[in-house]
Amino acid sequence: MWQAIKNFYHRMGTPREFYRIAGYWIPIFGVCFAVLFIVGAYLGLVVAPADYQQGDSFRIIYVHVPAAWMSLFVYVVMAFAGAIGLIWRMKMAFIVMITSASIGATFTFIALATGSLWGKPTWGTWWQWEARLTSELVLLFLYIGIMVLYSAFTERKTAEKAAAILCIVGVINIPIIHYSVEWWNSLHQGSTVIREGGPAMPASMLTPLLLMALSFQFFYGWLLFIKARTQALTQEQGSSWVKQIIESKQVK
Amino acid sequence: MNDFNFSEFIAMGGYAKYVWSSWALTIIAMASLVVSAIRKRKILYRQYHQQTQQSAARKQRLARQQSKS
Repeated sequence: MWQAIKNFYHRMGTPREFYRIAGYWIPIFGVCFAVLFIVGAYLGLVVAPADYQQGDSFRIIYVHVPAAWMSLFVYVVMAFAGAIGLIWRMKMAFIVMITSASIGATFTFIALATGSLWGKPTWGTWWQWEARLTSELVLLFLYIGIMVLYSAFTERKTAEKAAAILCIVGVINIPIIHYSVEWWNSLHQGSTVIREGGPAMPASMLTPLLLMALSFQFFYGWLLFIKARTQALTQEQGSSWVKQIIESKQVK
Repeated sequence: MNDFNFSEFIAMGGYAKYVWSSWALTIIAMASLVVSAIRKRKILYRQYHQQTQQSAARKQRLARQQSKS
């Protein structure tokens, strides 16, 4: 078992093997994303009943919450990848870290913007400087900071290390975001899904949320593999396997 | 689903502008990630082919110069 994990780890760590394995999964992830998104959107926008307090405005939850979850998830993946890259000097780990940054930043932006659009009709304000919103905004700045730091160095190895260190230090913000609604008296509502006593939502409302969350996961996996493959090709341009792949592609 | 009413669906109980702009914004943001990923791949291919063409042309030129002298 341990050996199998080790083998898998080493194979995924080499750009060439990563390219091949990721190429196998990309269409599968893409289809899963598309199907789950369409079904989730249909159930969320059409089938689910309106909320007894918030009316139809609650349907923003189906994009807001999955995006917010992903903004945290992607960050944790990046921090792990950064740590693996620093400890074992694994090329692919750094590639996963740095190609995730723009995806995570976009999820964070979606969470903030849709939250604002939800806040206006329910709280009467677009924005409030309170714990949950502020810590999520800090997350956006962390993502941007990582991208800027990475591109600031001409030497790639230095850039990777610097970005990884910033990423790992920034992990402190993740539990702060998660517990912000409990630790501080917050305008933001508490967790409705991950809480003691189970989700506080009927199945007709919860199912589309979980489907949308799963579809966002597949979206991340799909796009990460596409982007990481491009990055692997870019970094390994000198080697013969890359030349073979690129030469087989026609340029339009 | 028998009582599905399209104009009611669009109206979103009076929250149309908030609900639809949230969904539209999400889809546009995700689509732009995909577009930029595809564009990056295309740029990589194009640059690679340009470089190989340039180096091939340079080699030809060198070979021609050598045959002249």
